[in-house]
Amino acid sequence: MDNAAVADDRIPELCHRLISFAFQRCLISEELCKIFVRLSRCQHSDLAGVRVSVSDTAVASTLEEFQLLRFKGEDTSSEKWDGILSVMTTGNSDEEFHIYDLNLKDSTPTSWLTRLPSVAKDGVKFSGTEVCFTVLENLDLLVIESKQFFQKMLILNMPNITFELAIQEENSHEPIYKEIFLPNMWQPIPFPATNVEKLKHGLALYVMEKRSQPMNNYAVDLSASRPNFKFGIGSICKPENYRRKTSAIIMEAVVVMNDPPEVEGPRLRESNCLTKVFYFKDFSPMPLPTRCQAALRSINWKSYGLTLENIVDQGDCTALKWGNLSLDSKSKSSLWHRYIFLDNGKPIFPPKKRKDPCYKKLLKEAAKLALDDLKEKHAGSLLSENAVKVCSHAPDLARTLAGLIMSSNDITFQGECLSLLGFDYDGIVSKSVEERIEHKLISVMELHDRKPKSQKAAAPFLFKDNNDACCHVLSLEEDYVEGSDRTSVITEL
Amino acid sequence: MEGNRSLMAVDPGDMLWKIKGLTRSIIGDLCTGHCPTISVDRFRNYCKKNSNLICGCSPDYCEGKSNLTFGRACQARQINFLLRVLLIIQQLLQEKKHGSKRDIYYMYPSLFSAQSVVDRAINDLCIILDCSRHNLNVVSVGKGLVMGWLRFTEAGSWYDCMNNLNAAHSVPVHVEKVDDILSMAQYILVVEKESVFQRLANDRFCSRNHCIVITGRGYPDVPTRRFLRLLFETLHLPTFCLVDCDPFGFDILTTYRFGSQQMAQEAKLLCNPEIRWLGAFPSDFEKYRLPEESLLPLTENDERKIKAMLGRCYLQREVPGWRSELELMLQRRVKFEIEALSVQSISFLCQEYIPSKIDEVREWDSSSHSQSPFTTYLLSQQAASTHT
Repeated sequence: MDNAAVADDRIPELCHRLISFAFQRCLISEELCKIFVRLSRCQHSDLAGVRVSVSDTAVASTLEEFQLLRFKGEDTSSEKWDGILSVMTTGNSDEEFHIYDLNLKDSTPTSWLTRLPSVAKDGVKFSGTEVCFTVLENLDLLVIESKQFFQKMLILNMPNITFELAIQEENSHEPIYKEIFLPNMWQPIPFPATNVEKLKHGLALYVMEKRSQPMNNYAVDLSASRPNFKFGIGSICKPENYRRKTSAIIMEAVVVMNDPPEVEGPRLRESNCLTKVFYFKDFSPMPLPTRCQAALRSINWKSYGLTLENIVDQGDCTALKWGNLSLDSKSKSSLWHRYIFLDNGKPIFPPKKRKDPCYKKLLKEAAKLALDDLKEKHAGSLLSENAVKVCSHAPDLARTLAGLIMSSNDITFQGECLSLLGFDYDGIVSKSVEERIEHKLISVMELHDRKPKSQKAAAPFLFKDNNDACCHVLSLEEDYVEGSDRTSVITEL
Repeated sequence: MEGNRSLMAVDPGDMLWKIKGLTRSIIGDLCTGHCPTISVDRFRNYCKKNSNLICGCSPDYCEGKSNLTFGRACQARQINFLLRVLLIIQQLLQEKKHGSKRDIYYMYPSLFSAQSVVDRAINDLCIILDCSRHNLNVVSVGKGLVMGWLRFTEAGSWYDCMNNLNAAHSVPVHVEKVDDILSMAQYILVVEKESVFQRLANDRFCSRNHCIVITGRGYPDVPTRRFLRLLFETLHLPTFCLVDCDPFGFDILTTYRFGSQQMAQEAKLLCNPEIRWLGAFPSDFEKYRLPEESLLPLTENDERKIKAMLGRCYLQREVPGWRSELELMLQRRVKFEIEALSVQSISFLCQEYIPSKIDEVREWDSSSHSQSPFTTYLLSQQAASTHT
């Protein structure tokens, strides 16, 4: 979803944009916020109309953000929506509610906005916005799309923001359906937490919830079984205006892996070969742009033991399909559920219209840093193709080396070697020696497979974050686009 | 850099000490988190500069090192082969037993997958441990044959070829145990093929000529070359080589003379620098009026092999006459076997060809030291051609 007007036949997308705007205003407010989506069936009409209300308790909205939704020269004919948004907003310091009707299909600069009489707040300290509109759309579709969108938004895991979805009949105050979406309460987030830290835990919750779904052929009790997640984090910061140093594009990537469950169903086996990728831009999930797909393709996946076969569109997200995962390969376990999350730091809202910066390099570097970070923190994970092959020789090599030691008729030599291996000489059997050598070989290989530390040294992070993410600042010679921008993405294996 | 290998026997205890040192070093690296690396010197006895420029090539010339590291998949596999062979060798040395390369291969055929894997591992181990193959108690079955005016002992047992001058004896496998060499021969004749060896035996060549005849039956193995080298060093006899007039015959000749590239690290011990090419030359075709039917056209492989050999630096530097003959072979695009010389008479080889060739050499030795007989002949041919 870009900063372009919403297509007329994509009503769910309009809802997503409005929720995203509310979310970003919540981030600015830094207070407890609630985003509430209410869907009401219009009974007075013969048509199957749905009244949509998106409200929040964040800072007041501005007309500037709705400008982003206006139609510009596109075909404005519509069978589903008249283009009218009814907006009511107020800030903490305001004494009244400001009310507008906005016609997004009206291209004239003045007449698209109709100011309606304000309503007094009677001294109540309160801020928030409600946007309403009526559409001819399938209610069930809107419910499903909204739920999916909230689930993705929860990956952002902002502890001060909750979501609520309600369905009610028109003129009724009691909802016939209600669902609240809370950020990850499963694991406490360190305070203060960076975006990337929040993402880690949000993503973990998402994976656990997906694992618990019956379609995966097994059930997981979230409270009883917490998979052993492995995280890798990478951040890239690119100054937008070097001399003034006023802003920067931040790309953050999170890679999550967890071991496969002991019992695997056929669908699970199939999904082993996939890594879902979620992409967020300006704290809003959106399809992975083609140029970002190219960036992912250009990563040397073999150095992580992977062969990228294809990038496939899965509807709600993009997935990386691996070509070298067999059920008995070691790399399989290290591939089970991986997520790459990319985000660009704190919001500037509303986003300014600007040329699209070239994110390809940023995305690639951030993803690589995250993968390297995971590899560094978790020995044996994401071993390169070369390392996996070397490790496959380890049992044979260990057997041979153990043979050279144990078959020697020189007791002093045997004692020296066994001592090096950490054995007391008495009662040692060849098998133990063999196993110890194999363990040493694999440990050395895992160590050797990681990048040299010189390449891993983190450059200073322009915007200080107390996280353990690998963060690099790109040089000015690299691709550069003026202005500031915010983007977010995610992936699931 | 030159190796320190010797024809003399090395104490098995020294070899075991080196093997244990290597094992200890690998274990030490692993236990300190280092990726073990094994350094292997790489040798060459020729390059392909094909010029008179000084290229530094010589027998036993070390051109650099290969570092085999556990960190690379293909090299880890190679190290696995190397250490497995080393394990077998350690057992052989400890038990004072000997084994052939084939024996070693069949101990782990599924691991080694091919004999060449074992051969290469043994070569590398010789370099790493700075020794010769026999020091590792790895011996060849021995395919060389010898007959003629020769008597010697091997590990205390007498081998008396003079009892029956025209009977073939196997070349001794444990050349380092050969001693008490006694001979009444005037020269040593090396022949490429067993068929020629048998022809000479049937024609009682050694009864009529005071010589020793040896064949490696094709490409000579290590014991044959080492035995020939030992005979030369002990008896100081002129040594001649008779091979087919084809690229493989020529390559076999250079293997006797310069050693092989595969075992370049031991070329200094295995080469026979004084060996002289007796025939058959491309120029023999006209000289002995061989019928056209006995000539075979060079195949594409033959031509490719000749072109590759022409590039070897040692030919230009040390035996330019040989190189000229090889060029002539390529120009004429024909080859022939030694047996083709028997077209006129079955005994032509023994009674005329070899004696006449040896006479030529002797005449050349007494008259000139600047050109070999075939070079003289070749130059005269070229001069005649130019004049015409």
